Amino acid sequence: MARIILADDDPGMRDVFHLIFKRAGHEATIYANGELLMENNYPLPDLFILDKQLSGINGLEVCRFLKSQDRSKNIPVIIISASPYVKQNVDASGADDFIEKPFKTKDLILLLGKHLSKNGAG
Amino acid sequence: MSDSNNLVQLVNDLKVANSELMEARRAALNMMEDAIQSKEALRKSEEKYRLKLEQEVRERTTEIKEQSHYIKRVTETVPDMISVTDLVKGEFKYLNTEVFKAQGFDPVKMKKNNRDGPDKYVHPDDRHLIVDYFQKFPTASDDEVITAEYRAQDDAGVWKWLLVRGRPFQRSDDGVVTHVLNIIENITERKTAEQEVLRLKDEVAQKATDKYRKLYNAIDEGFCLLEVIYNTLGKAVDMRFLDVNPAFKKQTGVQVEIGQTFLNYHPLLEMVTFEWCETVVQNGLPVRFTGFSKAKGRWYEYHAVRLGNREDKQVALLFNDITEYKRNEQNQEILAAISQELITLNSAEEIFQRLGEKIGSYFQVVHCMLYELTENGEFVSTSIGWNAKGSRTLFGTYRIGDFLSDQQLASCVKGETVIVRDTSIDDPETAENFAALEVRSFIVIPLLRDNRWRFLISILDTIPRQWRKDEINLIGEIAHRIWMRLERARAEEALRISEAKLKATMDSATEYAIIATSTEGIVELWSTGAEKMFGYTPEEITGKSADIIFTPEDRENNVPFKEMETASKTGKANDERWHLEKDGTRFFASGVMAPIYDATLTGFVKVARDITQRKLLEQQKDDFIAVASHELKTPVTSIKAYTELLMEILQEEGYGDNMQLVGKLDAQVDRLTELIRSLLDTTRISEGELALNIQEFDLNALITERIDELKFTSDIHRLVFNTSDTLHIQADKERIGQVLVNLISNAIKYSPKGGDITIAASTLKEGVQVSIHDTGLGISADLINKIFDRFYRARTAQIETFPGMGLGLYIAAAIISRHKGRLWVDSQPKKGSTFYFFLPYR
Repeated sequence: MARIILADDDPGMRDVFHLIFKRAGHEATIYANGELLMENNYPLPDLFILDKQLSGINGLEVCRFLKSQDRSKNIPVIIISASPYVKQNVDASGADDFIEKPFKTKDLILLLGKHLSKNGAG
Repeated sequence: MSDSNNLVQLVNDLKVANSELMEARRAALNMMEDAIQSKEALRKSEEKYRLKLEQEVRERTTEIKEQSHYIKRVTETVPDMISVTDLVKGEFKYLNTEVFKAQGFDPVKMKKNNRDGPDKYVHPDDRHLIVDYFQKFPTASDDEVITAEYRAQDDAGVWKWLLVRGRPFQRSDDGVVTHVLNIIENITERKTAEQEVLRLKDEVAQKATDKYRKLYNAIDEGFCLLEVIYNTLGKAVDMRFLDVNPAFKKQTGVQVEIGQTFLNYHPLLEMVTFEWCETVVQNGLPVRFTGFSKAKGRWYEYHAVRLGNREDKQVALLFNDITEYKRNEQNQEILAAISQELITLNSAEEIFQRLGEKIGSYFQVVHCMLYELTENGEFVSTSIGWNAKGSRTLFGTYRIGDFLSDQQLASCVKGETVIVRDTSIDDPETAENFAALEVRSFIVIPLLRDNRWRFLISILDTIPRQWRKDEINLIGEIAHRIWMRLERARAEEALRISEAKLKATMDSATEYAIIATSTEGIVELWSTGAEKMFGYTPEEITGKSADIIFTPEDRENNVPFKEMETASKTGKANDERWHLEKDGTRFFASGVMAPIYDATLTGFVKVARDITQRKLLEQQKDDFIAVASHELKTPVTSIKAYTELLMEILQEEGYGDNMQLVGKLDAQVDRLTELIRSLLDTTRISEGELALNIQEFDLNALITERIDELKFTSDIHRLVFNTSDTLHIQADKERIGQVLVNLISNAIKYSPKGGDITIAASTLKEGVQVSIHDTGLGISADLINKIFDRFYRARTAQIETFPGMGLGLYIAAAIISRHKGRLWVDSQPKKGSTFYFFLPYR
């Protein structure tokens, strides 16, 4: 079981992620925006999942912040985006991986597994 | 010579002795007279004085005898013959006989000859010299030496040259010379030597003369040697021929006799003036000059050189016929003059008004005309040309067949010059017609336009003419230049009209900006449309760089230059970009730039249209699609996740029977996903943003993979792909897969009755080719070019509409195009289609 923090401004997506993580046995904290993640007053997870297009501060900026902080810089960040150019954006922000919408649940679970096992969690 | 001096001394001595003797005689005689007059005294002293006298006479005589002997001895020892001539008796008083003998002259014979007729042994030609010689003595002084050189024949009959030097020897009481002493030297050897020298000199001179004569005879130039004849006032009045060479006659046409003078040969007088020759004689400087002989109708160049001294009055004259050269020179001059004048003349009327007379008089003809052929070629007519004063005019219309034979007409059609030397012997049928026009000879130069005979220039004369080759060439050249000028004027006029039309067209096309620039992009032409579009007036922008209509970003990126470069390299540069108006407003324009060539690149022309409105609409549409599809992706992702979760839950909870329904739901979600992706791709293609991710992969494996995904979508189709090989290519694997899915899906979709879909991949020389063949509905010919358009979808009356937005082929074609490949189709309605795509090796 891993602890995952996810930020997505779409309620549908938040609901779906909740279901997916629950079924996969992960403990997920889900936010509707990224502002809270810019404050260093929450317990760190094993992995972050950020929607690229968050209302307010976008996911890439949140990612850049996390990667700039000593406490969070080694925690994997996965970006979710509907944009086909997500790869370039992700590379610039320092994110560890990305997944393009729409995706197969199976593929998302595989991607999580890949990064969690890398860090010895999960 | 010293011998001669000795002799003279001796002679003087003799004279002294002689006068002493005479004195003695006179004294004796006086004494005898005295004795007679005083007989007494005489008688007394007679005996005494007689004895004394006799004694004296005896002594004197002995003395004289001794002296005479001495003289004789001396004179006989000198080499020269010495004689004393008694001028009164005309005989020799003394000869040194031995010397005479030794020289071959017998003194006895000579004395005899001399008595018979003086100097018979002297050469008849020289006798007058001897006569002259003796005639000089009677009045000569004692010191005077008189000489003569003459020939004399010795006893053996041999002619000898003698030099006689004579001096008075004895005078009569009244002082007249009565005797002459002659000293005669044999100078035969010297004379012979002299003559030999002279002979040799002559021989050498002769040889040299022969050599030069050969040269004179051989040269083409006429040569004559003249002696200038002066009148009593010292003025040159004529010249005598001393010599001429054979070429002289050839050059001048005059047969000259040596010894005759110029005044006997009238034609020559025209060419050479005595003054010229006299000048040459006077100052000795060679002179070169040219002259024209009217009688001969030819030009000559003369070269006059003095021979010898001024006193010799001789001039060598070289003639050279330079007519051909001179004509050529004159022809070139008139041609140059005509060409020069032509520059400023624009119409045929002007040209013939200004040049007709010049040409006519140069050729010494009566007419110089320009005729135009009628459309049907049957007639020629004109009101342009020159007719000499007093001649009939040749304006009007003539049936050309009445004047030119079929053969001549055929020549004209080919552009060949027609030359007639005498109309009356040329063609009996046309001769009469020419006679009516008083034309006896002419040259016609046909003028062709686009290989069709349209005009002719002709010079005509009232008399038969032996047209010279240079005249024919010259009139041909003149006609050619006139024609070039006329054609050029015509082209200029056409150009002017065309330019006016172009300007009118340009100015009326206010929706388009038309801009012409130099090769450096400097504005040369700015249409009304350009003014309207960009806000600059032609005055403001002409001569300035066209760069200012580009945005600063484009200028930064050197876009204006790149555009010209592309245009000059490929012949055209299309572009759609933002431009700047004078006031800074941006607008979007679609333009085409093309290079302008006039042998070399001379500039560019750009036509642009303001498509800002269209661009904005397209932009809005694309933005809408992009945003919409982007926004759609999120709910679709949720739906897909729910569906998958639902499937898992149903599976877990044993509701497997309902799985099929959820599976169908999932498939529809996938279709929806695909549609959204297509829409996004479309907007990206229109934005030029379709990026490729090139990698190496096995095309055959990709095809197999995609077939595996698709084969469950239809029960009635069979996807056939037979291969066991690998086929590695470099391309965007995902995008090529997308193309394959699109083409195979289409094949399934448009074969509603099912059947085989055959897929094949093959390696060609320059790339790989993939084909997807179906046996379905096919595509009619009128639609086949539209199926690759955006949003196009095959719809026919017979078939139902098929699902989809008609973006598939548009995207597939764009993907293949981005790979620099090609996508195309062969199709027959109701029989099926084969789609091909070709990917070049990278």
